[in-house]
Amino acid sequence: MYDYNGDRLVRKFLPVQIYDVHGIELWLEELSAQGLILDSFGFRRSAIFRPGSPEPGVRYRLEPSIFHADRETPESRGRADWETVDYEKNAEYARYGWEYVDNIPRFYTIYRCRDQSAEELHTDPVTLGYLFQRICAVHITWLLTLSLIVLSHLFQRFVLPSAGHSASLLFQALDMLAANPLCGVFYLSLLAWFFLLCLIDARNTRRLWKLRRRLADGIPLDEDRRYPCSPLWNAVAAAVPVVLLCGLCITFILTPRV
Amino acid sequence: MAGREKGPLTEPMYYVLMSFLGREMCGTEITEFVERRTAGRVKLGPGTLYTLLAKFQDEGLIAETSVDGRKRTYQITEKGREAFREELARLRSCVNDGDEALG
Repeated sequence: MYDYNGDRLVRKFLPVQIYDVHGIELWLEELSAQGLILDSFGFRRSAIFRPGSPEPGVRYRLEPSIFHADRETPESRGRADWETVDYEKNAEYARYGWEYVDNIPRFYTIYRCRDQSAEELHTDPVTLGYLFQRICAVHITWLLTLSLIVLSHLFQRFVLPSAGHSASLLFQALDMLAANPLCGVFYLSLLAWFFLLCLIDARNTRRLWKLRRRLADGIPLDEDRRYPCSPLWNAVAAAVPVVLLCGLCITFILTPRV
Repeated sequence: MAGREKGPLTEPMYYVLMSFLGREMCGTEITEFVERRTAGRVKLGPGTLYTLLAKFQDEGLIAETSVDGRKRTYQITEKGREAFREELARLRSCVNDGDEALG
C-alpha cells in the first residue's frame, strides 16, 4: 500500500493480544530496529508502518486513552477526534521527548521517544494502574449497556407478547431465514459474530482488570508474561464482518420482491 | 489517606504532594523539586506526573489556581495537607517500628 505522496507503507497485524501492553511495545520496538517505523494504527488490530532506516533504541509506550473533557483547548475545539486526542497532554509529553503517534481506538494512545536519555513515560506502576482502572470502567460500562439492550430485547419478546416479532433482531433474522435462506444465513452469521466479539471484549476487559491489579500492587508491566495471538486471526477478524455485511447486502438486494 | 480508598502513597505520589506544601507549583517546577529533593532517586516521568495531577485534582487534594496557555498552576487543599500528614505519620510509625526491632 502507499500513502498520498506515493511512499510505500506496510501493514502488519498484531502478533499479541490487545491486553498485552508490553508485548505490543516490544513488537513496535523490534520492528523499529528493523527499519519499520509506526505511522498509524489501522483497522482491527493492524498497524501501518513506514519503511526507513533502522532505528534501534527507539521506545514505544502505550497509555490507556483517557481524555479529560474539562481540558478542551482552542486547538481541540471543533476537531472531529477531540474525544480521543488530548492535545494539551501530548504537547506536555513532547517537551519531555515523547511524541504522539496514534491511538488504538477504545484502548491506548501510542507515544514514541527517540531520545535514549529521556525519562520513562511512566515511572510509577501504581499511578499507571489508575489509568487502567479508568479504561476498564469504560469497557465494563459498555458491556453492561450491551447486556441491558440484549435483556430488554428478550424481555420485549417473551414477556411483552404485544411487542411482536418486529421487536427482536433475532426473530427478524429467523423470519428472513424462512423468506430468503441465504440472506438469513448472512444475517444470523453477523449476529453470531457480533455476539462472539462481545465475548472477546469481555475477556479483554477481564485481562485488563487483572493487569490493573498487578500494577496497583506495584508490579511493573515488563514483569508480565506475553500473550501471543496469531496475526492471521486478527486479519480474519477484520475480514469476516466485511464479507458477511457485503453478503447480506448483496443477497438482500438480489432478493426478488413479492 | 484522606480520599483514597486503600493503600499508602507511593514515593512519586508522596513527593508530588510534598512539592505543594511550600507554594503553588506547575508541572515543570514539580519535576525539578522532586529531582532536587530526592537527589534523583525518585524518577517522575511525564506520564506519571500528568496522571497524578489529574488524580489529585479528582480526589480534591490539589486545586488548579491559574492557567497560562498550557502552563497550569496548582495549590494543595486542606484535604491534601491532611492526606500528607497521615502518610507522614504512617512513615514515622514504620521507622519507629524498625528502630525498635533493631534495638
